[in-house]
Amino acid sequence: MTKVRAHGVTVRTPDGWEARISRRAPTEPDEHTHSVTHIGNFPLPARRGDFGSGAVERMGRDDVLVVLVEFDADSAQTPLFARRGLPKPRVADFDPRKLQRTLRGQSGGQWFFNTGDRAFTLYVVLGSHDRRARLLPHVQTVLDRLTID
Amino acid sequence: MLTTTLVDKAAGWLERRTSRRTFLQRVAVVGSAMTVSGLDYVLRPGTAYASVCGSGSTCASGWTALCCTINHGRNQCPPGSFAGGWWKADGAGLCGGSARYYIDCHPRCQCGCGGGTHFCAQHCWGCTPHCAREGTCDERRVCHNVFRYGQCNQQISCSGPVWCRVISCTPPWKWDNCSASSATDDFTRSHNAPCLATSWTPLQARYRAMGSQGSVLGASASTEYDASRGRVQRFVHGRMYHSSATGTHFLLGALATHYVHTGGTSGPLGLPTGDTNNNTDGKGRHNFFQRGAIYDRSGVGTHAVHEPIYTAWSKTGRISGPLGYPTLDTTREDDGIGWRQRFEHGGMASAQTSAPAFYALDPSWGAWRRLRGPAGPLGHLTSDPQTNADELGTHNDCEHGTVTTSPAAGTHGVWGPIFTSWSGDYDREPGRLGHPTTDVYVVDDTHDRCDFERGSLVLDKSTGDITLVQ
Repeated sequence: MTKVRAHGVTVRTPDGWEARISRRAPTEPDEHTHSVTHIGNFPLPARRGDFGSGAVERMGRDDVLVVLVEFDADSAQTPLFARRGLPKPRVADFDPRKLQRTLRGQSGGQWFFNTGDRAFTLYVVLGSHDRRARLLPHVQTVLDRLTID
Repeated sequence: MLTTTLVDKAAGWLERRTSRRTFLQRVAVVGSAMTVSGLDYVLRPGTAYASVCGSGSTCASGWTALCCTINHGRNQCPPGSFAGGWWKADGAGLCGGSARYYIDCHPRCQCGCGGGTHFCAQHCWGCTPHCAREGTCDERRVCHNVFRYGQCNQQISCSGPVWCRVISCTPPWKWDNCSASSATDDFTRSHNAPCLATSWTPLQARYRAMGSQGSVLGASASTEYDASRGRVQRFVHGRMYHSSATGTHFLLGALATHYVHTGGTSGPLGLPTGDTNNNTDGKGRHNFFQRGAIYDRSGVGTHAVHEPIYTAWSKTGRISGPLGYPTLDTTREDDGIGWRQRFEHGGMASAQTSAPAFYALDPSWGAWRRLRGPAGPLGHLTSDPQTNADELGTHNDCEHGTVTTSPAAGTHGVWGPIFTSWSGDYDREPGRLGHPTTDVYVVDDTHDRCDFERGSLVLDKSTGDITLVQ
């Protein structure tokens, strides 16, 4: 098990999993950057879009990618982020169209939530929609080991 | 240098297979493809045209189509949708090396989400999932991917899928209801469509400096393309033109529409030399061009003034001068040689393009036109309004006479031998006969007559004799 902690997010990954917690440097004036967390049970490429571009194209049928993207704290008070606490995804939540980029066979799910003073979206990509029931417990295991300060 | 060489080689390959005209068109496409896709275009199989759309442009690629592809060329969210979030790609050549922004548009749900979810069921979307089949290389998905970036319009918690994507070189938090909380995906840097600019040009740089979608021009409604002279791009609220000789300038609303109506860059106005500006009276707007101007004011309309009228009108003070606003465009006289133009308080005319233009104020202008202008007995105007020697009214001299006006005697034209006698023998308005109270009129087949305040002059056309009648 590996523990990764940065920017107020902590992940304890099972063996064979990778986690990256980063925060990009702003490239434009007035731009706000926040933590971006990627957790996968496959090798994460060095170059990735915040919602997994560059990684999802490499996923196999049994692969899982968990993405946690943070927003401005002000957003925590808005209707979009009204849900409180890290979500617990269900099998029925997943759909092949619930993806930033819809790739054949994959499935996804997305949830916006707040932890009181921080706003996030959780985005999960499964390598196979057909295997979602089998893959979801892996996702839940990772989420159980994820904490937000 | 690498890019130039590659473009040359690609163009050479095309040249061996095409006519010269087609070749030149394709060179432009190749150049665009190189700008958009860079090495992707060179190293991957496919046509240059397809590469204008950048990577992942097929439906199967899983990305969402650009809004301009499906929204009548407009790079903005379709009606019934809203911006749901955005991301950026850094170092984008299509934005001059700065970040390029992608804003997702989502349909408003026509029913609720329920169950704590953020996406409504498909029957509530108001758009139909499909692949863009608009005849362009942007064949990406439309109204399909159920995903939201989340920085925009966070007061809306329930939405449909991504309908399409708006592109901008200006951060969306500066022109839409979005936060500055960024997301980055450099893999989408080349995503493009033929309805968007395919290279970074002075026109694109100016548009970004103005604020892109947040500017007075609003969203783009076409790609940038060649005009008869220079380059042009259409926007929701106007047009922008560029040439190396005149620079980059925008025209808004009715001014842009009217410019196109007058012939645009190949018309008599030439290219714009300034942006749309407010009129000095604060009641409308105008644009200046190489050879004229267009003025717009509510109640008066939108009208072009071009040479040979324009320079003379400018000397009068334009809209602040005695003529006021143009109420018609500059128009050819019926002889096809001269020019005339109606203004709020009179008119201006020129005998030919290279001749000086003169103006007359109402009611003199109206009288001259009533007497058939240059085609009538007075001929062309030869002076601007002159104060009468008795300081009672004004007159405009013409080729064959004069139009004179005074509060007491009214406005009348005097011409021919009667005019010669009235001015030579009787000293015009301040003289013994005073002001005319009629135009010259026909008495019978052999006599013309003009009545004055203190007498009449009668012309015997058979002899040329003038008789004073008192």
